Amino acid sequence: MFLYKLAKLIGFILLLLTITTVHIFFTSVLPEPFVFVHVIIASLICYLFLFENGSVVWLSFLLFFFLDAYSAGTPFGVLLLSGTIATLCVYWLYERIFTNRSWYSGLALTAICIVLFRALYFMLRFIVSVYTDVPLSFVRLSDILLWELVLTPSIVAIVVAIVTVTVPSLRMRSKKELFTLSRRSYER
Amino acid sequence: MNRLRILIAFLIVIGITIVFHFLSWLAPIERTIRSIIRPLASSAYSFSVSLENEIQVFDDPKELEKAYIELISQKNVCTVDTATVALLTAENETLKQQLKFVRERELSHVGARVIGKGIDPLEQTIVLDRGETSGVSVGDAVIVGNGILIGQIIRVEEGTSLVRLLEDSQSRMGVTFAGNETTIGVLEGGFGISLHINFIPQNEIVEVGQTVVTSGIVGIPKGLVVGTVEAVERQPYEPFQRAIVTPLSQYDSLSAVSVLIQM
Repeated sequence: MFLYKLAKLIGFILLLLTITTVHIFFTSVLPEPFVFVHVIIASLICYLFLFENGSVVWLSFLLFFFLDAYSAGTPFGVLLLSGTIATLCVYWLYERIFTNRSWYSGLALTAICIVLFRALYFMLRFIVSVYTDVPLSFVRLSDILLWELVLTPSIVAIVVAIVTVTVPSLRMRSKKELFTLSRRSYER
Repeated sequence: MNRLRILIAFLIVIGITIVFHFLSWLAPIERTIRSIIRPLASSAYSFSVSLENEIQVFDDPKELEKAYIELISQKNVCTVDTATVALLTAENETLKQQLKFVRERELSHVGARVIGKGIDPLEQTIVLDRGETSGVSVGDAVIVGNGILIGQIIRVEEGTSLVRLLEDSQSRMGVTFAGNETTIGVLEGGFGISLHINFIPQNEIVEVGQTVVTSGIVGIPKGLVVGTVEAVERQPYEPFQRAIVTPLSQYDSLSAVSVLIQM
């Protein structure tokens, strides 16, 4: 039991490092506009579809914490707060509204996650810029948001479509989850 | 209500994390994270830089064709440059050795470049680009590398001089073996084919592989290396024995030499 938990922990840490490395690799190597593919958000949505539990929020907390620790230009906490809250909201949406594992729900959830993330990000950067007198370029930020909205949901949609076609059992949400949802609606 | 509690809980956790960061309590963890991510990020960055240097985007096929033609001509220039660099590197090496030798022995010298060969097929001579104006005089020894004697100056003009190589049939030089003080024989050339030491007394022990050096007579400094003994010819009824010598330097690939000036 202990070994199983230890293996899970090590796997989790490796997953964190892998996603962070891939994200940094994409931002360093790919040319514009492909550099705007948000690998972390895409990975979080795929993780949510695969495991369907609240650990995705903790995963996002750690991933954005890693990014905040590594980034020198962004004030600490901006990425952490906006990323974690956006992922929490998307998790709730997945639980209640976009409840199936299809390419269009993947597309919608990713787009919503990016919009929430960037909205919180803009707001926090604006607040910080008022106190620190650091100028912000909203044109550039809008440009980034637009490209992220076009590319990242498309990639998630393609990945989800491919996975659900090749592994048909993943099309359906797990029976346990469906039962829990049905019981909650009955109790209400 | 439950969701509101969860949201507040997360906000508190994030708030605590931010506070801990500004109190530097998370500094060791952040340093560890940076130390793990930084090598990976720098490899990605190096890869992206190399990719940028190697990849070029063309909007037009004609641009691509033009760039290709330019690349071919640059490649040809590079091939020539590579060969030149190899030649210069070898020359630089031999000049370093010559300089080291003359400094160690405190000999006066002048560097010279071989600019030609003698036109007479019976003569083994080379022409140097130094002459009277550089202090070169008849009888000066000419060396390469680490004190390897190749010949002697036989004629001097204002800006050039003629060197008779050791393998020339008219070349004569008093030699001995390394470690020996007295002259043991006369080194003679053999029409560009070989070197041999004549008039070696019969009681002198000559072994294959022994190093042959100049003995310091007739104005040539002592101890300049000539070659190694390849074979010994000895007849009991003759007063002298003979040794065939393999020269240490190749006479057909000389470019930079040093002339040891007599003071």
